[in-house]
Parts: sequence; C-alpha cells; structure tokens
Amino acid sequence: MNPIIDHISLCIERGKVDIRSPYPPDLKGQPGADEWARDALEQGLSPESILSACNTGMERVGAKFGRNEVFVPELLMAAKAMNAVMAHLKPHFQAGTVKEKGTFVLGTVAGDLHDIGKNLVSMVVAGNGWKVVDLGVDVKPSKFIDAIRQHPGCIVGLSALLTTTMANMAKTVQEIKGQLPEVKVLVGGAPLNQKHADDMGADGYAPDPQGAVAFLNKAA
Amino acid sequence: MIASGLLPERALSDTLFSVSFPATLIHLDRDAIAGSMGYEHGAMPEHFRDLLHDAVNQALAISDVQAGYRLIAPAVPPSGKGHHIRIDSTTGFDTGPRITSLMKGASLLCCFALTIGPAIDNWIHELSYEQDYTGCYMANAVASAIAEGAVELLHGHIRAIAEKQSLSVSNRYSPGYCDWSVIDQHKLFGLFPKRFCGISLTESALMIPIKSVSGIIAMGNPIRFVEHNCDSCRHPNCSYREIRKAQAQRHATAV
Repeated sequence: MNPIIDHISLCIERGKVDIRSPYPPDLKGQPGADEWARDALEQGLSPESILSACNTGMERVGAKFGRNEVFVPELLMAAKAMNAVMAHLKPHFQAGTVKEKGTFVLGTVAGDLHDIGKNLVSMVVAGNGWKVVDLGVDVKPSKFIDAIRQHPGCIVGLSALLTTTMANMAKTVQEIKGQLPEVKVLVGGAPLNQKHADDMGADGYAPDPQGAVAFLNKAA
Repeated sequence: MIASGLLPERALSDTLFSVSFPATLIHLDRDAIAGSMGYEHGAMPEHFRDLLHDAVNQALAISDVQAGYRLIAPAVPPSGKGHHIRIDSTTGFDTGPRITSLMKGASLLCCFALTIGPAIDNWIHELSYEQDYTGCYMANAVASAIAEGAVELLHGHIRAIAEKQSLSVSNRYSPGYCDWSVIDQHKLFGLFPKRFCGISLTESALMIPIKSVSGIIAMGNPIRFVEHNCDSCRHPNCSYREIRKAQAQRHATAV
C-alpha cells in the first residue's frame, strides 16, 4: 500500500487536520489529512483509495470510541480531519468518478433545537463514505418527506433529545412510513433506546455514531 | 410572604421573587465537566483541557444568570398519594407517583425558573455555524455545568429561606423527570409572568434560552432531601436512565 494512504488513515484516526493544527501534540508541525490528501491526488492515487483510507481511519477511531479509549472530542477531531480530505474529494464526487455508499437524510425532529449529536452523526457517517443531507433542527415531517423524494433510495435518520419531541419523532416515523413504507428510518438521541425505536416503528436505533454507520452499511 | 435567602433578590409581589447573581459565584469543577465527557480524573488530553479552560472562561464571562421563584402555600398540604399535586384552585401538576409522594405534607411549594442567558445560546450556535464542532461540544458541556451550578446555588438560597422558617426542603424536580411530563412546563410557566427571567417556551415545552432550568422544590417539616435520589428509582421506562447507563458504562470500562 502507498504510504500516503497510511498517513491519511493515521491523520484521521488521530484527528490531525493540517500542518497548522497543534493537535495531536506528537504530530505538531507535521503534515495533516489536508496535505496528505492533496499529495495523494497529485501523485495520481485514486479517489477511491483515498476514500477507503478515510473509512479505515474513522473505523479505527470508532473502535477506540467503542472501547472507551477515546471520547467525543477525539471523534470530532477525527471527523474534522476527515472533512479536510473530503474537501479534496468533492470534485470527484460531483464528477461521479467516485461514488458514495448512499444518501443519508438526517435531521432533528420538529420542536427540538438540539444539534450536537446530530452533527456528530453527520460527520462520522460522511467520513464513512455516505452522502449526508443535513436538514438541520426543528424539521417537520413534511420536510423529511420532501427530502426523501428528492433523494430516492436514501435512508433517513431522526434525532431527538426531549421526551416531548420523542413524540414528534414517533409521528415523523409514522408519516414517513405511511407515505413511503420502503424507506428505512434510523432513530437516535440520548433519551432513546431500542424499545422506543421498536414502538415507533423505526427500522433501527443507533446509540452512537458508530451504531449509525453500522446500520447504514448493513442496509446499503 | 417575605423571602430572604443567601442571594440578592427582589420581591415582584407577595409571593414572586427574582434573584440575580454573577456567574462567578458558581463553582465549576473542570474535572467533573471532563468526566461528563467520559474522561477519568486528569485523563483529558492537554489540547482538550486547554479548550475546556478557554470555554469555561468564555462561558462565565457571557453568562447572565436570571432566576426567580413563586412560593405557593397549598390550601391543603399534598397527601403524597396518587399522581398529582394540586397547586391552587386552577393549577395542578401531573408529577407522577414518585415526585407526588416526596411532596407529602409540604406547607410551601417553590416553583422556580432559571436561565444563564441568551448569549450562551448564541455563542454555541456561532461555534456550530463555524463548524467548530469540538468547541461547540465543549461550550455545550460547560454551559450545562454552569446552569446546573447556578440552580444548585438557587436551591441553597431556597433552603436558607426555608430554614429561617424552620422548614426543610426537598430535592428539586423538573418537568420531564421521574414521570413528570415535560409538557407540564406550560403549567409551571403559567404561574409566572410572561417571559419570566427572559425565558420563553416553545410548543414542545423547550425553554428558550436552552440553558435554562425550571422545577419545583417542596418546603415543610415532613419534607426531606434525599441523597442519590435517582439511584433509588426503579422506573422501567426512564429515558434519562439511558444517559446515566451510558455514562456509567463509560466510567466502568475506563476504570
């Protein structure tokens, strides 16, 4: 394997964004994901191999997160590094020379303005090669349905943090399933569990971003 | 009714009081904030420790704590039975069996609201807009800790008022916890003037500014404060247990 690919994976795993980034301290002053991605493309490495390096890096940091060796701040830094790579790959996605795994339409349900968990899921899922359509917060069922129609074959993710908005989440699931029964719906948010998801009629429940990625990759 | 606790307060009426105090009075334990993110004592990497330090300073500088409460003497002291507490002739809270039982015999009910102000919300939104998600996460954690610290001070203030009347205070309970439906937030704020403390409610009972706390504290002689109150609850469908369970698992694994 080309060592640049290893560097990209490492930079994402460690959250090394670019050469100016002081984090992590042991990589201070060294090139980051941004510089290695640019070098990789300049040397003719395929966008697919770079995307695969992103996946490897995110999987490694995700595994550490699952083992409680790192926590959300490290995961966010990894996602930031991954975003730096994605900026280089964007023209290739637009040109169709590299394909995403699928489209994930994501939003915080109506009545709820919390977005930190949603943003984290968004970044980690994007880093695993998915196109993410982030509808933001306080998203009404009709807006989800419009977005689903605009992105045929997409999977939908709903986020909520309040017990009241869990009711709105259930309503959103029902409206989506009522109009578009084939669409897979994933739910998540701090107060939820698998039983809540089952009761709502959702197809899946993700307790964390890695759970969302696992669901998506299985469903793809 | 005269109330006078530890903090400077202003009587808005016989039963309604506003309390304002600087955020610098709030004790913030940085290790505890790091712990809320999953890190064991002293284990947060230096880079994030620095970010946390900056976030604490920034948050304290822009916090604007506004609090207030209404003291209500129920016509009949709560029996502690059933799922409901009658506040006055028109208002009752569906607090569920657990909170209802802990209010038994209260001679006064203190309904309170507190916010650390809109500037904190704006700051968090700006960080999110700038896609500084790590900073946003830190800011959110710090802001939650400040709100919790502020309401702890308010609780102490209420306790001091109660002690002057030789009364004890209960734990504080908020809509959304222990079977008390969060939708009762509307009834709770119905006891206050409009935009009390600068807080407004959305239809889904979300307080704006987001970093706000509301709830009820019982005062009376049979009333007691219960340490580790959550640990004794066995509610099968508690949404907050999921959060507590995840935190406990993280700590257990880290140990």
